[in-house]
Amino acid sequence: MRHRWSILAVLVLGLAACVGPPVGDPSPAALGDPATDSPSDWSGDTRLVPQDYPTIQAAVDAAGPGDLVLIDRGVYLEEVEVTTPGLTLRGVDRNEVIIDGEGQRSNGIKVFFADGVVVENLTVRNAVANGVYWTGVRGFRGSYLTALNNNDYGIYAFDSSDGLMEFSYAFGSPDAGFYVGQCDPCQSILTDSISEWNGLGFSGTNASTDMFIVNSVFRYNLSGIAPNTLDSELLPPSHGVTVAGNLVHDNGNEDAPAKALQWAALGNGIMLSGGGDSYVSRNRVFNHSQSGIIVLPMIDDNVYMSFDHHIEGNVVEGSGLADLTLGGPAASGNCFEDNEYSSTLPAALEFKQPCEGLRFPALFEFGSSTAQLGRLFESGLSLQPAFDPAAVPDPEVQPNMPGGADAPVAPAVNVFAGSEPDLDSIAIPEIPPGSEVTQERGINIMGVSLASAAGVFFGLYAYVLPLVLYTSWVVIAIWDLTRREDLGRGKAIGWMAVILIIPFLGVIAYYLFGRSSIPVWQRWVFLAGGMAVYALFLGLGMVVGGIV
Amino acid sequence: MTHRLWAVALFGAFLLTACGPGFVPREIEAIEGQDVTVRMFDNRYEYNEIRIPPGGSVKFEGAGRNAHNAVAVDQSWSTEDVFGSLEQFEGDEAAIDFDQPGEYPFFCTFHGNAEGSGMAGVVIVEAPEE
Repeated sequence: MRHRWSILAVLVLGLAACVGPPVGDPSPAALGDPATDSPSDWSGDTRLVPQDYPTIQAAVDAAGPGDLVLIDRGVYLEEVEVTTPGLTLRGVDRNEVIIDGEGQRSNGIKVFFADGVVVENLTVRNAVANGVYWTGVRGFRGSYLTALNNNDYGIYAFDSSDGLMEFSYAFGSPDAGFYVGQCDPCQSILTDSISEWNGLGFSGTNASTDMFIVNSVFRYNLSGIAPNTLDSELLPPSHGVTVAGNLVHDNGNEDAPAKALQWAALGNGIMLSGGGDSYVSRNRVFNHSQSGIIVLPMIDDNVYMSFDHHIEGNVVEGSGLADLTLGGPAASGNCFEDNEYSSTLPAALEFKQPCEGLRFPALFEFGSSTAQLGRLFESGLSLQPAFDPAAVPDPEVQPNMPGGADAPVAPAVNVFAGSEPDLDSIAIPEIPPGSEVTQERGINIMGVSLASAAGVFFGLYAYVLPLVLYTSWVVIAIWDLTRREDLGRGKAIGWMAVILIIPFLGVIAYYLFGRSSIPVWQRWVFLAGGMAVYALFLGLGMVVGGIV
Repeated sequence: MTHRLWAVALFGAFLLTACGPGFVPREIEAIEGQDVTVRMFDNRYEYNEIRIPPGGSVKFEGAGRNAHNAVAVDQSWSTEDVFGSLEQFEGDEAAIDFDQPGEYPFFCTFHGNAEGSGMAGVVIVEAPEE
């Protein structure tokens, strides 16, 4: 017996070891340190490009904190690096001031550990990585920006806090059009913007606390809005994200550029992966081949189960799998209430997981989670459609910043405090002119969509078949107990209770320790044999698909 | 009873194997060795100070969702020279050999700069103390 406890202790310690922290430290700014190097006001100096300086970089290098770098019309073939706090980089015309990476330079504009930098009223395109990139800063603002066909993110704030992205447009990035991540508290807002033809409309890996995505449009991406948790960045898991008043429609666009992880998200409107305590409300979500709004785990080096997400008061329709989905495994506290919808997975989700009152334990489905594995498998084998630039339409011309070159200059200091959304004033957006709900609900088996062969494969071997096998374990165990004469009534009832009340472990315990009359070899065959075969198939699938 | 213990032990071994990649050391930013592997996460190097003896090697391995690289500040070497692309994604590897003693600062062209801000580090090649 002592050996058994020793082994159990090893198991517990081993599982604890799984939850190792990532290496490194976030910047103080990412942790909400209010200290800033930025002046709060414009210095009064304006640096004109190209009139005074031939390149934007030359003007930036000459500028002091709080200066305005005013950029005239033209295509600028350079990568601009900003390390001076409080600068404002402004184009005189959003659509005609263009920083073009030509597929050769890493970023359009990168702001490194310089607080309070503002970038506004210009276009960044064709960067190898990111259009506009802030990292390690306290205070950032991107206004009236257009980010086109940048090969990682369009508008990207990392390891930073106290930010605002507004009235901006992101198009054609295979990761995400807009991104805010690795921050807690983020104290950041994305508002009044449009994100289309990207892998993800918005991605926020490990973005936590006071992160708002509001009053924006996410359409024609592979997936719309995706706060998520990953081990590849610091500060997991994501929590405290608010998604409100957005128009999220017709994501599931297989012609948009995408990386592997984005392909896995295909066809979902709002996707909460592995974080917690988010508030999703007053969004209109329609025309998605998978789920309109889905809560599910994120499997990385660690498994992150979603917890305490509140999905309230949204209008969700036209979903191929379900309007509202709770994918498992999920932790407790996720709730759905006062939404307008026509389908949920599992069924009666608002009844079983309300935001007020008693919630049933562990009622989620696995089909949507295994579908993610199927998509990763497809991506690993390069089965996802090759990106064809010819299939991408021209992006829309965007409105200029009010005031243009003469607008007031204000470094990004205390941005969040002055811009925090009033959620009570946010309304559910209407269906835009020219759009209609067209997506019909498809066929699924226990939540496994038939839309993808790889998804069906993983759905069968990781979910449906093990569940069927488990059911047979229970039936056979009960049958065995009813015909045993060596047990007293009390012991028989006790074992039945264990089998029926304790999922999985109860019936396994009976076969291992209940002195069943079924021969040992038979018990091993159907207890371990089936699961081993499924695990083998599953493992082969994951290896072949490059998932592990 | 023995076979049950074995079953539990095997199950435990399976779990430990399955979760192995999640176990990473805490906040170590410097490392020494003959041949060192440096994982490139989003957006940081696993180690930003790497000490190796002359003749040692540093293998840069993609471990994030974004593309990364390591390029010498003086442009004398780059993971691109070995890997063939500046974009190393998860699992992509490039080993750089260092024969001469000295300090070799480097950075990721996407997420760092030559001044050492952001994703940047240094390889220090020195003979071990006697």
